[in-house]
Amino acid sequence: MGTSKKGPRKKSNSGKQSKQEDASWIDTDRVVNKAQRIVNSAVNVLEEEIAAGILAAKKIEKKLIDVDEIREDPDALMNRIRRDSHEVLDLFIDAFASLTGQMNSVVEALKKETEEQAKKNGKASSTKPPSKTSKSTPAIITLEPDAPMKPGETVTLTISMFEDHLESPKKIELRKSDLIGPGEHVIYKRAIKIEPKSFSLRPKKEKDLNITLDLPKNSQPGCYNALLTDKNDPLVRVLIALEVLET
Amino acid sequence: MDTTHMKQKLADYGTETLLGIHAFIPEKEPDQYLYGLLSDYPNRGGKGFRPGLCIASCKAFGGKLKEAKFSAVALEMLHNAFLIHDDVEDESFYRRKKPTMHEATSRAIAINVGDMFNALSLSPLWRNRDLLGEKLSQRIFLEIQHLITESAEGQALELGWRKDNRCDLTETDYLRMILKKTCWYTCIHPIRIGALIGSKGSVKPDDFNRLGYFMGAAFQIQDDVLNLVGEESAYGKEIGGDIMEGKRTLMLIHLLLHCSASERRFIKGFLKIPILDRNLAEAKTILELMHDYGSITYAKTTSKYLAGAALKEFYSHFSHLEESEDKAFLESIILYMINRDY
Repeated sequence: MGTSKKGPRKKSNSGKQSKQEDASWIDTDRVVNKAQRIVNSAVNVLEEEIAAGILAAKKIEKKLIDVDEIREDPDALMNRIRRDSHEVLDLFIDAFASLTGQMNSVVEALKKETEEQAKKNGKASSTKPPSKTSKSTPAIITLEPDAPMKPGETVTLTISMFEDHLESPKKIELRKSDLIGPGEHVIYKRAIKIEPKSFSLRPKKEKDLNITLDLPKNSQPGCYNALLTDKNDPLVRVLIALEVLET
Repeated sequence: MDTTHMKQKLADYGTETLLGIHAFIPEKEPDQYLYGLLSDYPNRGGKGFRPGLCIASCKAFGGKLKEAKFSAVALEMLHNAFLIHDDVEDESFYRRKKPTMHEATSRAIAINVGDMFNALSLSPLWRNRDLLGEKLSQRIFLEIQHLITESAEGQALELGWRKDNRCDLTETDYLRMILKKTCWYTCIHPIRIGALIGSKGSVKPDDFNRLGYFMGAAFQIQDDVLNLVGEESAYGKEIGGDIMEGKRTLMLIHLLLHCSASERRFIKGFLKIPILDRNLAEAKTILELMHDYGSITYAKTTSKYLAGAALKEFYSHFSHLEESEDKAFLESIILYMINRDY
C-alpha cells in the first residue's frame, strides 16, 4: 500500500488504548467477563437464528400442505395416510421394541425376586404355572373420538377393561406416550388424562376408564397416535388415534 | 497432536477430497469455458478445512473415511462454488496467489462455473444413498440444504450492508452475519454431518451447533485479521483487500464504533465510492486507524475467547468418545486457534 495523503488526524491517545487492550490479558476477571460477554452474545444470536429458521420452515410446511385439496383428491389423501401411517408404524415399532425390552427386564427382575422370596419363606418353587392372563390379550385396542378434533377442543373417551382368564386381582398402572403426528409434529402426553391411572382389575369384573384428550390450541393439523401400556404387562396396549383439523 | 501433524492430516483429507472432486467432473464439452475450469480453484490447494472436519468427526464417532467421502466432496464443491461467486461479488483480484476466476476468464463465465459446481454437488449427495442408506442420506441432504440457504442469507446480509453503506453495525450484527455466511457451512454442518455418519444417525446434531459456531467465528475473525496483517505471499490474497472491498469485518465495525466523528466521516466517504475507484492510500489510513484504536488486537482477542469456548464445547461432546487420532486432530485445530500467533 502507498502512503496516505488524505485522511483525518489520528487521536493522540490512540496508542494508549491499544496498550490497554493488550493489558487486558493480565486482568483475569476482566478477561473472563469479556470472554463471557462475547460468548453469551454469540449464543443468543445462535438461538435466535435457530428459532427463526424453525418458524420459517413451519410456515413453508403449512403453505405446502393444503388440507382441503388433499381431502378432495382421494389418491393424494390415501398417499398421505399411507406415508403418515408408515412413519407412525416405524415409530411404534421402535417404541415397542424399547418398551418391551424394558418391561421384560422388569418382569424378569420381579420373577427372580418372587422366587427368591418364596425360597426364603421355606416354600418350594411354585408348581403353579405362570398366569396366562398376561399372554391372552395380545390384540391392540384402538380408541378414537367419533369425529376429528379441533385445536383447543376436549373430548372424553370411555373404555372398559376386562380379562377373560384372570384368576386373581391384577394391578394395572397405565403409562402413556406423546401423540405422534405427521412429520415432526408432536402433541405432548400431558394432553392425555387417564382416570383412574392405576387400579386393580378383578376376575370377571369390568373396569371403566375415562381418557380425556385436551388438545393444545397450537396443535398442528393431521392424524396423531399415542400408546397406553400397562407398566407391569406390556401386552396391555391401547392405541389412541385421532385427527386434528386445521383451525 | 502437534501443529505439523495436524496440518499434514488436514492436507491428507484434502487430497482425498480433491480426488473425489475430480472423479465427479464430467469429461465432456464445453471444456474450455466450463468443465476445464472446474478443477482450477480446487487445484490451487485450499486448506480443506470443511472436508477435514467432516471426515474427522465421522471417524471420531466410529465411522470410516469412505463413509464420509461423498459428503466431504459435496461440501468442498459447494465451498468452491461460494468462492467463485464471492470473488465476483467482492470484485477480488486474487485467490490463492492467482488471479480470481472472473479475472482470468470473465464475470459471466465465472458465475456459470460456480453454478455448475453447485449443480455437481448434488451428485455425491445422490451417491450417499447407496453408501449410507435412504434415511441417513435424506438427513444429510437436509443438512446441505440448510447450509446453502444460510450461506446465501449471510452473503445477502453482507452485500446489502455494503450496498447501503451501513456504518452503524454492532458486534451482534457481525456475529449474526458470520454465523449465517460462514459458520454453518464451514464448521457446524461439516461436524454435524460427520458425526451423523459416524454414529449411524444416533447423535443429536444440534449438540454440535455451539462448537461449530464458536470454531467458525474464531476461524473467520482470524482469517480477516490475516488479510490485514499477514504476508501477501503466505496469505495468497492482496493484503488489506478486505478494506478495499469494504468488507464489514469485526475490525471495521470496532473502528467505526470507537473512532472520532471526523474519522467516521472519512471512512464512510471511502466506503461510499465504488470498489474499483477506491484509493489504496486511503485504505492504508484506515488500516493504521485500526491499529491505533486497538481494533485488530480486539479482534484477535475476541477470536481467542471464541476458540476457548469452542474447546469447552468440544470436551462436552467428544470426551466420552474413545481416544483416537481424529479426536486429537479436532482438538488440535481448536488449540491451534487459541495459540495462534500472527
